[in-house]
Amino acid sequence: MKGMTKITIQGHLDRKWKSSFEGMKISYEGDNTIITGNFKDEAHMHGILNIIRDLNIKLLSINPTEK
Amino acid sequence: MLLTKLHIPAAGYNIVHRSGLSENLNVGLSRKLILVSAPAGFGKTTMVSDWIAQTKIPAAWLSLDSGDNDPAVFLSYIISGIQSIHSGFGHGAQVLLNSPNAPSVESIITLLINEILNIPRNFILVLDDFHLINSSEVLKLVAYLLEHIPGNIHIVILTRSDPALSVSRLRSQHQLVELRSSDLSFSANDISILFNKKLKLGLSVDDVYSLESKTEGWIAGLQLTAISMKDREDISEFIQDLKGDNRYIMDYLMEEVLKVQTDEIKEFLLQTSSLGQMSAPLCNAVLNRNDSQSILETLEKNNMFVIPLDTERTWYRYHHLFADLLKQRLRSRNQEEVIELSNKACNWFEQHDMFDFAIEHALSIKNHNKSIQLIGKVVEEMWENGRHSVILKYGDILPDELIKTNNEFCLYYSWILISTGQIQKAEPFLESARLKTTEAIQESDPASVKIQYYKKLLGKISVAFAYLNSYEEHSEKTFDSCKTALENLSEDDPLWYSWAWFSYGIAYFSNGDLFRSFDAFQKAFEYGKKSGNVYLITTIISRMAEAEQQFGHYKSAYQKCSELLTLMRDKGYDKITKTDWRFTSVYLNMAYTHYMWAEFDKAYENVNVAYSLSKKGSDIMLDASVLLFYSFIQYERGELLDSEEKINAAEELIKQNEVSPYFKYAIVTWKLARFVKLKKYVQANDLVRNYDLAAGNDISHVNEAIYLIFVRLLIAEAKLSEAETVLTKLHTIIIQSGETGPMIDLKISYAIFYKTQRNHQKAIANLMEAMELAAEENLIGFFLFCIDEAGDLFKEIFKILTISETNISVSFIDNFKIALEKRNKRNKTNPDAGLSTRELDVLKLIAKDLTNQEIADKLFVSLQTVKTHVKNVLLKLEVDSRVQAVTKAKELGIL
Repeated sequence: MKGMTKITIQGHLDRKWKSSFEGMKISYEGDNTIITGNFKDEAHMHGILNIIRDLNIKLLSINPTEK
Repeated sequence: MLLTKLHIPAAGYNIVHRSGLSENLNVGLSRKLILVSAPAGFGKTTMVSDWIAQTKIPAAWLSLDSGDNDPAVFLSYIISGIQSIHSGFGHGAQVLLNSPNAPSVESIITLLINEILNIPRNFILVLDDFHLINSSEVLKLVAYLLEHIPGNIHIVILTRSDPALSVSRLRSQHQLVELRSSDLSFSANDISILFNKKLKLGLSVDDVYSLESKTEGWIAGLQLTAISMKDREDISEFIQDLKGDNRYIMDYLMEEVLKVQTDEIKEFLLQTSSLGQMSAPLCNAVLNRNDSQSILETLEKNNMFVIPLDTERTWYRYHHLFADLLKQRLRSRNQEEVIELSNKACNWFEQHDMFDFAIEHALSIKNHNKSIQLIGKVVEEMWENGRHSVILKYGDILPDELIKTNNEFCLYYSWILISTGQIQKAEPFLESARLKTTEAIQESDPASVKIQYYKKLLGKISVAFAYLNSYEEHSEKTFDSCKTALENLSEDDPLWYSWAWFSYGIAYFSNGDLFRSFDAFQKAFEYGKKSGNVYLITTIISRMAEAEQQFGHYKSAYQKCSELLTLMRDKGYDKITKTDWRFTSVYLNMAYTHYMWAEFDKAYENVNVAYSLSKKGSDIMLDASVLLFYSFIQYERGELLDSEEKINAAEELIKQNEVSPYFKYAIVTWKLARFVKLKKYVQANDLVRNYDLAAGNDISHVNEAIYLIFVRLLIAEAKLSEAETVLTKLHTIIIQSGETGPMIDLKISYAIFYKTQRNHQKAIANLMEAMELAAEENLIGFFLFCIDEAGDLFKEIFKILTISETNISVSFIDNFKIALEKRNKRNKTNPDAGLSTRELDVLKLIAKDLTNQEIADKLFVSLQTVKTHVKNVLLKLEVDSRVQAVTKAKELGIL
């Protein structure tokens, strides 16, 4: 769980959604949206992934990144 | 119980019937599970509710939410749901669930499965929004239900992500129908029906195809599109612009939808988005208006993702996805507004006694002070109704210091923590509650009503302390707590009052004060019956029976246990007694009595039930007790290796866990006795050294049992003066306590001692005294146990009995003789070797040159079991190989 995680989803998600993705940053890369940040724990990660699932957004990848 | 959760959602206006999908669902009526797995907004609920309406199949519907992660809550809803189809269903189970004892889920499910079989029709059980279930206990429960599901019920699971159930196995058994997003998404044809036939929007064929590719048939997207098209003239243009950029489609559509609403409706949507479930009076109160009912009805008619939750249209909710999108907009507009709205909603729910919702709203905005205040009001009721997971969840969320401000929450939260083994965590909360309640009593006017409340509370807190201390074996502290409890409680609270007496009973028992312990249990039982709580009664009876056995009152103990089982059967809880671990000690008790009465088959039967039950629980002492007696009875049946494994496992358990010295000695006693009986004196003496046994040591009630065996080792090794010292000490202490069992054992030891000294007369006299003591309760087991050492003495006693009158009843002697005959017969069928029937079966197959695997297949047992049997056979025949075993068996005439 340590270190930054980078989640890539399809399409541009409005920056207003930031408050829903607690503690994560929203940026764009081409046609995709990048959500980055540190997960506090497993539950935090599952919470974030559930939001993506509940909005029916296409999840492209989840990767750990170096700081 | 929220009846809105059991309402089958109405299919709604402008519905597109989908006959292809209905056919798939119809196939599911001959399968165990229909799984509808697709993301939000794919029309799962609508499709299934439409199918139910069309086919008119009886259905129980449960709209799940995160609160259903408590097994007790989940099961309660399932029972209520099925009652809508069959009103007589599950009442017995419901009573068990609504009790503060956290019933064993598996036992309740077994009970329910049995009742489902009695429902004379086919029906379906729909679990909607199953993705909200993440509790492993609830998942296990559903998996168990699926595994044992009767043929007349079919489960439909609607979920956004595949459930953690063994779906693949059901798939391979053709017991599954699956519908996924590709099945559910709208085809061009469906789109045309919705937009042209139903909504009459007049789309061209190109428009339809374009919509299909842009939304990928996603129904929520299509419906938002339809709403935003309303009153537009440039529909084709609108569709062309749709998804012209790479924005998340819902952000785009939501804006379009809100654009075409009046400001009033827009505000209404945003401000009600976080209510969860809403009624007109609630919306009126939160939004300061008075026309909410008509707004809600209009929204429903206009397909604005508003779903009625009952047929009277009192309660509504938004489609979850729609609500999420609205909430996000509200939050990014003004965070303070969200807090204000939630506070208003919280107050409204509180005023209308809907505390669950009030608490959820308070927690959602982290208003912890309000939360604890609300929870404090309902925590007792929650505890009484077995809603333990919810209480644990609140305890997790709220800061410890805040929890300590509420004595009632401290009490019930600690109780659940203790019952789940989190004793260290519970203690500070309980301590704080005790301190604050005691202070409150001192500060209150002695004549006030308030002081009565605090006293009662202190009484309950003290019971909880006694409960906590009983885990830690602090009998002194337990006595103090029990005393305070009884001073402050009254018979008006039979559950608590009974528990206080029960704790007294346990404390006395572990101190060896059996008389007092028995009295206390008697009182506990009296009030337990008044409370009507079957789990409490069960716990008390099993401990009481244990105490009675120690007294030597086997008949009465046995009667108590069998009366309890009859009572359970009469109440319809027959299944429970074979699946709930709390019944372990009842069966164990009965097994022990059967053993004493030389009814070995019945003893074996009961200990087997106890063994399988004990595995379902997590009580170390109980597990060890069962293993101990299992070992005992297996030895009696000639299954020597199995018996050794069991006693070693029991010893391992008491080494790894902290148990009372009394209990430790109880386990080691049989281990030592086993070595003595098998004449393994080296191992016996190792054990004696390990546990520091010596003739010079003090003997007390705590270790008398092991010294009763130690003395037989001394006699067997002809260390007679040491033996005499121990016997004298034992005599002093056993006379004091007046327990029958140990007294019988002691007299038998004396008999063997005098026999070894060749003092025949005294040997006979002591043995006859022992038999006199045992006759009334028919305790043959004691004498069968010492038959190898005292054998000849019995023959003489039988002779004496034919010529002179004694106090030993004729029936006892008859029973004893029958038992002896049976034993001789058993030894004859297995001359010298003492093979069990099963081992004999295995041996016969070995003689036919079968491999272990082939033997396992033939006897329908596991490979491991066969290996154990083979090991036993080699050991008992005293050979090293299978070939030698067969030769030796033929020599002995076994084969």
